[in-house]
Amino acid sequence: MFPSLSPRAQLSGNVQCDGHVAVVTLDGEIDLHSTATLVHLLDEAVATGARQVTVDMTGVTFMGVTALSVFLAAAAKLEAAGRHVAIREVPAHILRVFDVSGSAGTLGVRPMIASSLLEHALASIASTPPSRQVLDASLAMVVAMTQAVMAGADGASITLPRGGQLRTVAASNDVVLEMDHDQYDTGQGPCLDAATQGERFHIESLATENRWPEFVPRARARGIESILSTPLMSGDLPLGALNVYSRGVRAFAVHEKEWADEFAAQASSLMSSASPTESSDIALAGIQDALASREVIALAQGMVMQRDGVSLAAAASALTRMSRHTGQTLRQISTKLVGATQSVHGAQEATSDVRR
Amino acid sequence: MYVDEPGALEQARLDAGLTQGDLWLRYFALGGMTPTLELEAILHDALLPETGDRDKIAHALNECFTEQGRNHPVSYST
Repeated sequence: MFPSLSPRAQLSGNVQCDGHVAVVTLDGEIDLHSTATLVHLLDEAVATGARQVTVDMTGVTFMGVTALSVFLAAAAKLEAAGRHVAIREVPAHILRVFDVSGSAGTLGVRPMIASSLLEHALASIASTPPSRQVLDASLAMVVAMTQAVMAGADGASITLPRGGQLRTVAASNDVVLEMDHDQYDTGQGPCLDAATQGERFHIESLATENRWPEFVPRARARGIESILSTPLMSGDLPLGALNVYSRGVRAFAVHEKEWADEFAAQASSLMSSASPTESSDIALAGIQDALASREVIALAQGMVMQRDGVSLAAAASALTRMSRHTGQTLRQISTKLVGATQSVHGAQEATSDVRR
Repeated sequence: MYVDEPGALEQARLDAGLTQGDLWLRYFALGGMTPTLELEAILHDALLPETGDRDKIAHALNECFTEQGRNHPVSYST
């Protein structure tokens, strides 16, 4: 990728602020000639006093390395005041500039979300109306992706009406499931309201929340501080809700809402194409199998991390090495490790295996 | 042997007889969390993967090769 040879590369943009977040939307090329425009726009965003400055890179077609120093300077200025910058919707070819410079972490860089995020992976399902089982497995996949992709998410679930009442059909962990049940038990909560009223409910901090007086104390007792419930819709009709929970206060900003909208749209489209009949399907086995595999591998990685006091990357790498050297799959290795650790004696053997 | 050179991952995918969707599902099963389109960009060298992520893709391919009775032809970065 080469910079434009045009002597005056055009960069335009604007700043919008909702109090907490200032969003800088950029359009065009950022090179030596247009850096001044970038400086001006970032200064304007910093001057709003917003806690977070988000830079939307969707419209940026080229970015030279000079832009990095401008972004880093703005990040340092914000950081000094306890604020931060987040560079979002970065096109793939520009992502590389951040990657190579090692500044992606400091600048909160995240890649562009393609609108067809899960469509490709779920193509086999979309081609035929999925059965109830395939639908549930696909929704579990949406939930897993939601938690994996959304920064600050400690859990996610999908609430749907089944058999005349609302039920959780997919949940990323037990705390989330219990949270949903708290809402069904008390008959109140943001997920219920999102699922029945078809509106988004975003609770930035449960500490200052007055709605749902019976549910909120239960949620806080489980360590949850913020919730984002996005309705699943078929036209104007609410179908259910995608719920994301976090242990952090104000964990979800503008872009997390966009992610949630994206995943909720995927879940909605899966649901509207679902047929009510039960049938077996090859896709079902594949998805359920993939989810089960992820779970056991994550468990084994967590065990190695805790026992050996190493990072997630080191644990993943140790398990992969074992898999390479023994000719067993990563899943088989993980399953053995998890099984072996169920007794103290077994745990010791597994340690020596991993270290070998 | 597919060493860490341009096009190596995509070449290995074709050789393994996997569709991009197949590979994504295998990669997802190993704990990968890069969405499908970004994985496609990585395969075509349009996007630089994180070290751990590249190894997950390599391992997903190698497990497929192992199932076919072949060794681990895709190199790892660590």
